[in-house]
Formats: sequence, C-alpha cells, structure tokens
Amino acid sequence: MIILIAFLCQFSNAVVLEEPTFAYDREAQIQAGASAFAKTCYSCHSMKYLRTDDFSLKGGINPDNAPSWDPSSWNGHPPPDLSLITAIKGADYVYSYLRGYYVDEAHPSGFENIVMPGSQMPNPFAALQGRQSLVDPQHPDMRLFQALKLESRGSMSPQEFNEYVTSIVSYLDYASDPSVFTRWRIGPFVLLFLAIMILLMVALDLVYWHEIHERNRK
Amino acid sequence: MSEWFNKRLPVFHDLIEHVKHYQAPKNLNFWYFFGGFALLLLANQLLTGIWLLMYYTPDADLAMQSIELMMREVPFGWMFRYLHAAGASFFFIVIYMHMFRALLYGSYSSPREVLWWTGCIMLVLFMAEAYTGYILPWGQMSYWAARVITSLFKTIPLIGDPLVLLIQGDYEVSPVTLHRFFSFHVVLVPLIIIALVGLHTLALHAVGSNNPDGVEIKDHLDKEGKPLDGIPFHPFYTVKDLMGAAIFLFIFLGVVFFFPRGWGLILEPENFEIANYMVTPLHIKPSWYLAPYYAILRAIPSKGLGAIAMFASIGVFFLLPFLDRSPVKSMRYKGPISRVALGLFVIAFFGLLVVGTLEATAITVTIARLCACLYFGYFLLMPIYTKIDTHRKPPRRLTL
Repeated sequence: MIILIAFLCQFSNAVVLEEPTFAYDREAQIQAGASAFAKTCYSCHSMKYLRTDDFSLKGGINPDNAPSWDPSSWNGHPPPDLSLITAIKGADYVYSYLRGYYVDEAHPSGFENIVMPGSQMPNPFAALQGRQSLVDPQHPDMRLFQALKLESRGSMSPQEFNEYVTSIVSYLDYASDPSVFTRWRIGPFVLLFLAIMILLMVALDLVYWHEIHERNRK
Repeated sequence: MSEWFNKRLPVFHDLIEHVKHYQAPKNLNFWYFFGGFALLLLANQLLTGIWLLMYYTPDADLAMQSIELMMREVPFGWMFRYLHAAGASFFFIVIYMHMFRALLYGSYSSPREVLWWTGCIMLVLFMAEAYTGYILPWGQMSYWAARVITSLFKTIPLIGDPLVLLIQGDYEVSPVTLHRFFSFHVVLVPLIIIALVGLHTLALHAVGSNNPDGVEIKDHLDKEGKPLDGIPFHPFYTVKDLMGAAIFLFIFLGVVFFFPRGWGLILEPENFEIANYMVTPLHIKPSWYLAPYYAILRAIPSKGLGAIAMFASIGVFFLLPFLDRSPVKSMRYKGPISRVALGLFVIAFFGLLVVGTLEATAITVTIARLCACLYFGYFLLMPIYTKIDTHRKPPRRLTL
C-alpha cells in the first residue's frame, strides 16, 4: 500500500489529468483529427514519421509541407515533432494540456497552461474555445474542469471544442502507433488459431500420455 | 541416402537418437516447461533480430528514425519490432521461472553443478544482451541508463577506467558507444549465448533432468539399463512441450498484438524521446527485469560498495551448489526453515523489482535495504539453516 501511494505521488501534477473519450468510430475521428491537426498544429509541429500514412495524407499532413525550425529558434526549444508525443506523455496528458490554457497577464503570450506551467506555446485555441480563468483556491487533486472556468465563449460551443480537441488527441494517439488497426484486425485470428492449437495439443497430449497414466494407476 | 550421409556425418542421426533415447523422469510438472519456452524465445529473438537488422541504422541521428519508419512503412515491420521487444521481457519472465524451479527442487546440487553454472553464465549474458539492446533505439532512457551502468565499471579498481574506455569507445557515452553496443548486441553476445545453450543442453543430457522429488531416476534401472521411472523424451515430452508452447504463444502473442508496449514495462514512455545529452530525465530507471539489481545498487550509500553488492547479487547464484547442505534436494522433503527462506527470497526479489523501478526516496531505499538483506540472507545463511533444518525422507522411487 505504501509502495502504491509512493508510486502515485510520482505523477502528481497541479491537477488530475483528464482522459479523452475516443469515439466508437475511431477511424472517422482520426480522419477528423488529422484535418484539425493540419489546420491548427501543423503550421509549427512536424509529424516526421508519418510519410505514407493515409489519414495524414488525406488530412493534408505530408513531408512536402512540413514545418521545419532552426534548432536555435524559440530560445533553443523549437516546437517539437509530435509523431510520438502520446507515447511519451500519454493521451491524457496531451488532452489535458490542450484544454488547460487560462488567461494570465504575467505570461508573455497572455496565456498560461495549468498542465505545463511556463510553456512557450501560445494558446492555439483562444478563438475557438474562448477564454478560461483559473479558479482560486487550488488543491492538488483538483479536476481540470474544477480548476478552470470558461469566462467567455469562442466560436465553438464547449461540446464542439471538446470533440475538436479529442479528435486531435485521437489522431496523435493513432500516429504514435499506426499499426493499431492492423493489430486489432489480425490479432483475434492469431489468438483463435492458437486457441484451436491448444485444444488439439491438449488432446494429442492426452492420447500419448494415456499409456503412462494407465501404467501409473496399476 | 540417409545411411550414406550418416556414415559420413552422423550429426542428424545422433541428434534424433539423443532426443529419442533421452530418458526423462515421468513426473515432470508445470515448472519444467520454462526451459523449452526459453529456447522458443531465443529462436524468436534471433529471427526477429535478423529482420530488424535489415532496417536498423546504428547512428545516433538515425537510430530512432530507422526504427519508427520501419514500424510504419515496412510490411509487418511493427510486428517484428514488437515481437523482439516483448520477447526480451518474456525471456526474463521465463528465465526467472526456470531458475525458481531450480531453487524449488534443488536442481543446482550434485550432480548438476556444471549444468547450473552454464545457466548462471547465460543469465549474465542475457542481461548484457538485454542491456546493449536497450541502448539501440537511442532514446532518452537508453542514453542515461547507459551512462549509469557504464559508470559502474569505473568502480572496479585498476582496470576500471581503461575497461570503461574500451566498452564505451569514448570518454563519455556517445554515438561511438552506440555503434560499439550494436556490435556487442548483434554479434558478440548472441554467439556466446548460442554456444552456451549447446553446452547447457549437453550438460543436461549427461546428468539427466532433475524432478520434483529430487531423487535420481538412474538409481533404479531395469534389465535393459533404462531407468524404471524414466520415459523417452520423444514423444512424451515433445507433445507436452508443444502443448505448453501453444499456451505460452497464446499469452505472448496476446500481449504483442493487443498490449505491445506492455503498460510501459516493455517499451518505456521515456524511451520514445530521442536521447538528449543536455536534459537528464527526472528519474532514471532500468527495465523491470534489471530493477532488482539496480535496487540493490541504490540501497547502499557508497557507489563502489553498491556496485560490488550488485555484482555479488548475481554472482552469488554460482555458489548455490556449495551453500545447500541439506541431505535432500526437493522442497517437497525439506523442512519448514528452508520453505520460509525460499518464500522470503521470492518476496524480497519482487520487492526489489518494484522499488528498483521507483524513484529513490526514504521509503523505497529502506524497503530496498530490507529486501537486499533478505536476498543475501537466503544465500549466505543457507549453509546454516539447511543444516539445522529438519527433513522428511524422500521416497526411493518417483511419486506422482
């Protein structure tokens, strides 16, 4: 129990990270996410490992129009490539991060992020989401929606914005491992084959070992 | 035709005869599957490794890219990568189960000492193989784990510094090290492993399998000189191993197809980030299968002594044949102290495994120290407790 608590303490952020709820029709959502990513994120963030992927190409993400940065730009931290971001940080982190911007005049861009304080990335969604403010006081196990309050609406309703962000996270999650659909398609057949093999092998084993079992019984 | 060939090169004939006439005890149980599984996984690692080698580039700038593009653009590239990565984790599960079997039934004691030692050497080699392989994607944890582990060799007196220079090929872990580890991982270590697998099998065939009762089946022979309690390995244990392999593959491929990152245990999140010499990760941790030894290293405040304890924690396995003074082999007939000792050892091993992957805090270091004491206590007190412990008289022939 102590180990478990110690373990959980490692991951304590300012707020509890929120899990995105992916749509039942993942493929449509990923496609929508690829288009949304191309529109909102691709001007700065490359997706260098997705060169031949259908969703990416259809969405307008391809190596020919990929952004590239000088390593010394942005104070030496240019916008990172996002091909593997959900593998590194987790889908919940990315989802909460994208929803975690709030107004803070002290920050150079006017927006601070609750998940990654001091982030250089300016709020890409101010026009879509509207402006959020930080609720006081805060406590460590606060949920994201408790810590942040929507002050003024943007061009999207909260539901529309949530779907928009979720689709981007869905696409990024897919992009970190595009084998996922192939695995899910082939996997059940592989396991079915092995299940039949197990039955056959158990039967074969019993046939061969019958003699030994009989001998032992005597 | 086969006669003609056999007269000139009797290798296949001998091999088949070996399998057919190898007399195995008739009461081998669940724990005896794991040697076969290890062989299966070794084949998996070799075959998938050859495939990965066709696409992997051992260059600091290209290593991760070559892997990621292979997984996306080469047909079934992802499958070979996941089979290889998950294979490594499963290998250690299988090896640890295989070793536990030896502790349980006393398979290390006479006449199987050499068999046990070849296995111990292989354990060290598997660790070297896993560790050098872990460096190859050149992710953050690859790089920083490499730095931590190579720095341990510096604590060896006199030869430490030149040895590290030889292993790293540089004064720090660098792209030169990556290339060097690539060569170790792909050529040097696998060749030695394959040779030792051969020796391990030969030694097994010379002394015969132990069994859950820990009594020698060769003590009771029939008129033809065959053990009364022995049965031919083929077909009886080949069908059993095939059955085991099918069940094992079901679990293994279930993970490969549906949980290929193994909840961050097979492929760690940190290692999807490319190595950055300027940013130290908050928490450098080894792969789960090396965590117990890493926990022992951290449990001791002095780095030099910690490194000695870590190497000792693996080396102490070699001494087992001398440490066990019990007149019986199998835990079935050993007394309560031996049973409790083995139980505590298993708890200590899992405890070390868990705290080894966690950040070093006051609590985890205390748990690690406690577990390390139990771990070494199991071995070093063994001559005492096996001597004073009671035992039951084992049967003359096998029971079922």
